[in-house]
Amino acid sequence: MDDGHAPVTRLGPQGNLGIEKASALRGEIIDAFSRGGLIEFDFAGIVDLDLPCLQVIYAAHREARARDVQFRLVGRVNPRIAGRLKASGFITAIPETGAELEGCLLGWTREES
Amino acid sequence: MAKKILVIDDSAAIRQSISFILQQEGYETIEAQDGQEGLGVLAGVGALDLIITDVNMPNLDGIGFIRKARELPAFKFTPILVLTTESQGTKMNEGKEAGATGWIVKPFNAEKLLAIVKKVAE
Amino acid sequence: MIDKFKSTFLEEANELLGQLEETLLELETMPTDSELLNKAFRAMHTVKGSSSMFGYDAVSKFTHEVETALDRCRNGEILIDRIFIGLTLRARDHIRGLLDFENPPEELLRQGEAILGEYRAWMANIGGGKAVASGPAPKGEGEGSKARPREGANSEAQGEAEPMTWRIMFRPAPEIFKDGTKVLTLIAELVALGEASVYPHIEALPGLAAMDPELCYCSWDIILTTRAGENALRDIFIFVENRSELQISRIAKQGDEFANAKRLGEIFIERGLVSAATIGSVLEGHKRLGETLVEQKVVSSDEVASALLEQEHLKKIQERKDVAGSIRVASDKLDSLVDLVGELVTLQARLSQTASERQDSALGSISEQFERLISQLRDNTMSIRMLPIGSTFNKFRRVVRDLSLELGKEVELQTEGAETELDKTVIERLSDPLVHIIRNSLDHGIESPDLRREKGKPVPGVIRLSARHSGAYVLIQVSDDGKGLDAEAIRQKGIERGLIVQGQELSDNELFQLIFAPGFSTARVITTVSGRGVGMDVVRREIDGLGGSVHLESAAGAGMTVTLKIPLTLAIIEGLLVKVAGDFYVIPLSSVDGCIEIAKEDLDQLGERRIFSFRNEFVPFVSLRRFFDSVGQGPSISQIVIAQALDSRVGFVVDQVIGDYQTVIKPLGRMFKSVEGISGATILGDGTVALILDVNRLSQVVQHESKVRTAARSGVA
Repeated sequence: MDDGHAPVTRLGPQGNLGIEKASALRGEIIDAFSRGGLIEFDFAGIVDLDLPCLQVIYAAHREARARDVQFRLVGRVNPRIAGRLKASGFITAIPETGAELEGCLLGWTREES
Repeated sequence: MAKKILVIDDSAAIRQSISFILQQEGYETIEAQDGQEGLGVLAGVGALDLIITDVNMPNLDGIGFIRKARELPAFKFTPILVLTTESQGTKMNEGKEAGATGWIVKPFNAEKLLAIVKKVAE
Repeated sequence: MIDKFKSTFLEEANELLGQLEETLLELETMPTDSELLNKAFRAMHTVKGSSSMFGYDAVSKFTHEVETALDRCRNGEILIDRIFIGLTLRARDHIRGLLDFENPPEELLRQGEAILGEYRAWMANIGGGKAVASGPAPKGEGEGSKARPREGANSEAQGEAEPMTWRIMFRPAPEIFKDGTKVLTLIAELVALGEASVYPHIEALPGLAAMDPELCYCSWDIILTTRAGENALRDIFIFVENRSELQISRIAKQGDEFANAKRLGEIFIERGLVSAATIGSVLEGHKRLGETLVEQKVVSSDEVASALLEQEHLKKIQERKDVAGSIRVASDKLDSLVDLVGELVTLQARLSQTASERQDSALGSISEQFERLISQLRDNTMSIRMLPIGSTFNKFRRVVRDLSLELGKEVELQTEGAETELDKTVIERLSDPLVHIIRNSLDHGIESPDLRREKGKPVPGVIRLSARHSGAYVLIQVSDDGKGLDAEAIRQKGIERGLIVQGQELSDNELFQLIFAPGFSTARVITTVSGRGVGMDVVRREIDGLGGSVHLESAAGAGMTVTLKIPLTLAIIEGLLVKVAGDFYVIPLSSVDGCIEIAKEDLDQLGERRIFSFRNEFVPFVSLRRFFDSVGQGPSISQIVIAQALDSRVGFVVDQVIGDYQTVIKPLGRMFKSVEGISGATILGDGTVALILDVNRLSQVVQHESKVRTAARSGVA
């Protein structure tokens, strides 16, 4: 699978990822999977993240593992989001980037590329 | 950006008091004097961070308002607080049933109001 | 509630009562019209709700019972008749009467009770026995309108309770998001109550295709060690409806002897995941419990991880307790320790003096080592009494919040150095002066939002409260970004108040210090907030009492800064030891400005005037020899110690200045309480007693005498 030229789909949701965005986010990710190749989920534009969208991100991670494709978290992680995730037990350290977040999210198995 | 809160109560004194307290804390408020007028506000405003509504009101009461608001996609998940009095335990359940997030029991002071608002709107 | 809306409330209530009257009269002709009845009920309900909000408790209590009666009519339990309409009209009139009083007279309240009595009787007649039983709970006679027992019912649980450890198992209903509940916020609220280990379960989450993104698939196990009580924990979930599962159980108290925390098996049993029998049989096999249970599919690996987290949490709490264990000591034991250390300090000073007098190098070296040890011992002992000043900062936050609301200003309080430590007693005594300074900044310094906008300043004003160490002192600063002091206004007021004379050349900085003078206030409008000019002088007096000093800086238009310099502790002060006619006195070093020598002839020449010039200022002085009625003549050359009192300088003529001295203050016995000009005593290394001068009091006496003399002279002339 690792041909190095796989298409990259970059998802860059913006603003507050509250419940009202969850359905749309799920739709976008499903689309991205159907296109194949690497998916990069960019945290840089996200101001806040609530549980519904977090669930979608987790589900996407599992989907990627099942399909053996890469679903990567990238970009700066807003400290507000990091704080929220820490308080609710999903992480124990405070990550600054998506890659660091992948490294500490509970139940997130990171594949080496 | 200031959070936007809709306050619905047929008593101007209570409506204005609540607005005043919220504005002091930096919230932006919109007032409506009954459920019908409240729905009018929803039609004109893109999104809200919180709605606070009284129960007993002429034209359209609080419970009816919540049911209608929850049917609108933009307000399907907006936090809604119901103003009740201690004697209205059943109204709390009715409010929850209709889709309210929580309630504020009258009488309340600024501190209590703000604590509950922060709890559901932050 | 907010007083400014009280008049709106009264207008509205009167309007509603007007409508109610109309409605009731219509209802009398159409008693079955449910819309009319609803209207009457609504009016009564609104009056009830808003009267309770605006503190009209008698109205809301009375209205409540009338509303209940109306509600029962509305539910068809009781049919409306003329008697009922008549009663309700009278009730309406009664409410209107009650609204004239915030505290209605007894007579009026009795009339209300009578009306309610008639309601009850009427309902009993019409609705039969059952109606009475379920009617408004008849309050005990004469109970009247007692204070509401609600509010703060949960707060009692908080207080200074011992920390306890709780296990909170929260399984949100799948549809919990649908009413706007934010689950992560709830968890964060809970976690904020104390120290938490949080384990989210995500294994129930289905695949991307199968999931409904608007349902909740997560649940939590939270182990929380907190001082908050169970009610406070439950309150967080107050809006979470029954379909969600919430279990809160106490698993340990801080003091519990859970040797090496809990065993994993116990945790599983307590959580209801595994039976004791299963645990027993696994343990018999001498295998690792967690692994075995997972292998046998009794619990999931997720459950094991969560239980391990609980075990770890308990272990951590336990270890903390073992390591950072603290003991409680009665404060008088601590005081006596401080006393003893103080005496050692004094004795050490004596030792080092003797060593240097004898020029004995061996003794000198011992003395030096001794000094180092004692200084460590002193610092350690003092640190026991030290508390971080931050504990009082919250109080100020509240003051700022309440006051800005009251004044209609937007103000943010920023704090820095909350961890700075100060003697407990000092912190307690600092609280009031700081409140005063902050109030002053808020009231007189920070401009109204409109004015700030006009001046191009950010609308929210900022008050900064900072604390930091500086040698043996703590510097506490309150600064604001308000309009600053108006030097000209202060000068005018100073002249008006006779604090300065017309034409007196003073720098702005000197002018600013005038606001600490008694009775000075520049506020043109006296507000209810800063009082009537009994402000900053009180602050100055309190700070002086602590052996500290106050300094003020201001830049017109940009704000001002008040700096308090406070000694770290009250128990030990740095003083200047002086000798008069064989007796020793200590002058607090913080108030000493300087010393000058004066020959006996010059002193005699100054004679009755007793004023000399120091740094271009006329300073009145007093001979301590004369003041304390000591016998004998002064030496050929005396010293004048110049000290800064509350608002002026004062000189003390002494025989000899011995030098700096660290002294431990001892309170004076009753016998000396009445001695004017003495604030305490201390014992010197050789056992002699030295009296500590009360500079402020002495200055007042001197000033007074000086005025009397001036008056007498002008009388003669």
